[in-house]
Amino acid sequence: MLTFSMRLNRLVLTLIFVSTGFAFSQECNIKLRGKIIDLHEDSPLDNAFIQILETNQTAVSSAKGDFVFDNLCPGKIIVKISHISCEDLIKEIDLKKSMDIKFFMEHHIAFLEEVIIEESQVKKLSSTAKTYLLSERQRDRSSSQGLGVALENISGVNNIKTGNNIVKPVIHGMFGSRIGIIYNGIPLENQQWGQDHAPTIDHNAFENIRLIKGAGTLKYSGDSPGGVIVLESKSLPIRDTLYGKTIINGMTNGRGVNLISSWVRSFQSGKYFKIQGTLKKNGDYSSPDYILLNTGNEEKNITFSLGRNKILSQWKVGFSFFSNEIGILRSSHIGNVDDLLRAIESKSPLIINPFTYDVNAPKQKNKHHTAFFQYSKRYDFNSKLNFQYSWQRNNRQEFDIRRGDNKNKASVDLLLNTHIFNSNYEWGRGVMRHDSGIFMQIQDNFSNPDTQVKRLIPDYFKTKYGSYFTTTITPSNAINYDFGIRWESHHNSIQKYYDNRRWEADQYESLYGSYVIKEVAGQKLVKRKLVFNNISVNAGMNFNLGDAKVLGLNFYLTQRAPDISEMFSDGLHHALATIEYGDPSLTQETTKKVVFNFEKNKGALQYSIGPYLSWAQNFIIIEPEGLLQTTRGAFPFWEFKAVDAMLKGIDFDLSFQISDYISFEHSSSWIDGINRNTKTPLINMPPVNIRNHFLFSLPRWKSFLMALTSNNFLRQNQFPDNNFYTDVVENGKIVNKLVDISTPPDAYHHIGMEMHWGPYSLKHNKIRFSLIFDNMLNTNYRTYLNRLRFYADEMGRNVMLQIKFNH
Amino acid sequence: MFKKYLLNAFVLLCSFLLPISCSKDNDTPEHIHEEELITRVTLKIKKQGSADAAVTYTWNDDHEEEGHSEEEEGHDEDGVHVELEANSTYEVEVGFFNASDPADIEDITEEVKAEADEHQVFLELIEIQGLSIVAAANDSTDSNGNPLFLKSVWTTTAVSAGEVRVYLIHEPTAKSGSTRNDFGGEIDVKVDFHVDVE
Repeated sequence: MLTFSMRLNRLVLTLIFVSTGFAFSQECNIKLRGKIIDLHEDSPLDNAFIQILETNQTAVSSAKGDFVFDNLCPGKIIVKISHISCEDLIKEIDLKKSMDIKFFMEHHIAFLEEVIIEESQVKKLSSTAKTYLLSERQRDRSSSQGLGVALENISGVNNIKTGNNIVKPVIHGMFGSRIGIIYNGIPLENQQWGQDHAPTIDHNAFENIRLIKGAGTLKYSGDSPGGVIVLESKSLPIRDTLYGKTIINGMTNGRGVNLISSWVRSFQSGKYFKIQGTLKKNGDYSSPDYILLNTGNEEKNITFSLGRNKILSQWKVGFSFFSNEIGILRSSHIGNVDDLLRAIESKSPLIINPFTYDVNAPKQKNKHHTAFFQYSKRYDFNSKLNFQYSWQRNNRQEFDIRRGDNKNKASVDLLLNTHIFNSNYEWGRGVMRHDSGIFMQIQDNFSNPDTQVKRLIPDYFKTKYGSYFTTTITPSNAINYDFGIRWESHHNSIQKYYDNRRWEADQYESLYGSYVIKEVAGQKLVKRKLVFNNISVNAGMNFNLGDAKVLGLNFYLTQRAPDISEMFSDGLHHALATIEYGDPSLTQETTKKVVFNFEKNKGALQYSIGPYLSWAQNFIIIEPEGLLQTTRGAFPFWEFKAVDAMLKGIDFDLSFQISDYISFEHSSSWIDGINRNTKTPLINMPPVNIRNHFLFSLPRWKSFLMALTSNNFLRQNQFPDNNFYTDVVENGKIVNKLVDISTPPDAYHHIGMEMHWGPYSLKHNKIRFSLIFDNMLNTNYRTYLNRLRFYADEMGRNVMLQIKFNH
Repeated sequence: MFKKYLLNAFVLLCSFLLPISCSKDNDTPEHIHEEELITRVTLKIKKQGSADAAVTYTWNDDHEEEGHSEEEEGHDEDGVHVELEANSTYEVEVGFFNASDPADIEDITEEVKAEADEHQVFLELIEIQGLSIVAAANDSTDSNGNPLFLKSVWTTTAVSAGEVRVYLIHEPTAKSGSTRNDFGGEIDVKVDFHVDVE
């Protein structure tokens, strides 16, 4: 492949020749001037041996990398360049006139590994915002659980849960569409709006799991003021090797078993093949006092990738399949508000059965397929062009307890197909580095009508395109500046059936009457096209104050188009017995966020203090609006609406190496979110949490490591009052009773312990054992951010045995 | 070279965009007729030994009460008024319907009968003294012989007034009881009929 600069040189030379009227001749007086450049260091390479195979003419490059051949005849020649530390380079050149050519030499493939690995470490997500990376121990410890649990040890990161299997990460009080999950450079598209929609991704397939709080990577997403989670596979070695890793977990609570294995085969040529698989199964979990009926779970995932890494170019093809079936606590399935009240008043779940592995309705089944192709090409060491195409197919099915012929049918069955094409170019070196790209996404959502249940979200077709530019300026070792801008244009085409009853109640006729395309059996089909243009900007700076102290300041302006669910949702929210309505008149949400970070990142005592402030306009929340009379009694209905909001908080991390054998880690966070219009707290703000972690090792027993963790969650005292009244019958009389869905549960504290032995050599393998205790004291507690907190306690003690092999 | 790549990229992009964008534009989503909804609850009441035809009182989901309805004092909600005579016996039949499509009204009562083990009707008396309710002899039963209370016999004594709350309970944990809590399960239907015994 010819390089860009060669092309340019040729073009320039041709122009010169043409303009001077130089006539080509058959005389052998052509001069070939060359320069040999080390591709990695972008420096001249001396002592390279250059040979023209046809004529056996030879030359040796000078200290400046130059060489010259005189008196060459026109025609094709083959030039072979050899250097002690590089792969031979053979190039065919069509000689017509004298020319200057640059030759880029690659190091021996064995040396490349270092270079590639070094490069991947250098390639930061942001040079000014703090990036958190999960350690291998953290990843292994959470291998049995979801991505949310893996990240929860980071200060300022919490989880919003539905039971124990459905866990969504919350960063700086935001979740769902306000945070981005990027895997292999692809934004995860999986109906992320739903509170009970856990990310359909297996974090065990990735070695590099990083997180930035705030919209720190405009390269990937511009609408995620909460934060960005980036999952990547490790760069693979360029040599002939086969290696793998297997983790086997066994858990007492839920009697669960996991098998997680990955294998890599790589070759000297840079080609590689990687396969990773995860199998998980558990039955009903238990709280300290009772079995949590129907909380079993099954997960099967597989990932393949195939590619070739070279210095000049890389390609990769990958496929992954994620599937799970998750049981939802049986007693959380309720019919109406009275049932909710009975559940709240009862100390333990209303239905408790013996342990089983069976998963029945209510449950979820999710499948996520991803196929992608990536290609990147380097023009010299500093500039790189990437292309990527990906296809994601997400199928979400939710099963309720149903009647009649529909008993085994899903109540929600959504098929989301997303195609993303993106390309970017990175260039610049030293002081200024830039990255710019374009992308286009098309997405089709199909709500399967076979459910025989009114669509929770409508069918839609969404086209999204845009571009970004980011730049990093490093005027000195002590200062970094980041600047980024991203523009996105969203075009939604939505087709939704409205019940006439609601159409009239909300007076939609005057607003949307002209969009009605069909009327059937008490419903109107409305087809609308909605366009949103979003601009997001990021500016950041980072000062190295010396003594390993770093001060960082980032400003983000993000715009987020309202979700389809926020505009058009229409249905019953089971766990809360509320009917949720979207607001079709919503416009985009604009958030300004400032994140400050002061850290000391070397030495025995390290710490990081990170206050932040988010100031949002048109912040979309859902609030109770009234009561709707139905045959199931009165239901509260909630509507999405835009308010002005402010979220502020502070994250604190500290680590201290007390002695050679004992170290201490602490992380804590506090957040406060308010609705600025009503001056009331926002719902679902994580309470103050404090985590302390001690790590011990023994001087005599080198292969032993032990850790104690204490997690303290205070009670959330800032919450909106969404309570309402319902009438129930007591002693033959109607009594109006308060349904308290607002008050957060009490503070709690639980303790974990882990012990690790190993690695020990076993033939060609290394083996490591771990024993991990969660909620060691079997504490009864409920968490504010668990939507099933009205129904049952959290899980009790769990002991996990982990055996890890490195093959 | 850069241009060539961009061109290739563009061609690639178009090749997958075109078929999708064409095929999708003409589709309109299928209308869903929700079969499981219960939007109408009826009480068909016939006085024993009377030649008068049975009267059907209807509770509709959409606030359009049919039959006898009027504003009740001291109660915000509209209700359906059932008028009964004192010292009489009535045969009452509960009916559940899906009337979301007025052109195609479905009788859900049959489904309840077919899945008798998983359903139970409970008629709860609220502040009404002069009325007692027992299952009718010809009532449907579940596999254990428990009456479903789809058909019941109401006996009135003294003059009084109050509500009869009709529940349809799905997957009850018990099939008999005197309060809602006794049955467990989830509520599929909860509607009140105002009853005047005169």
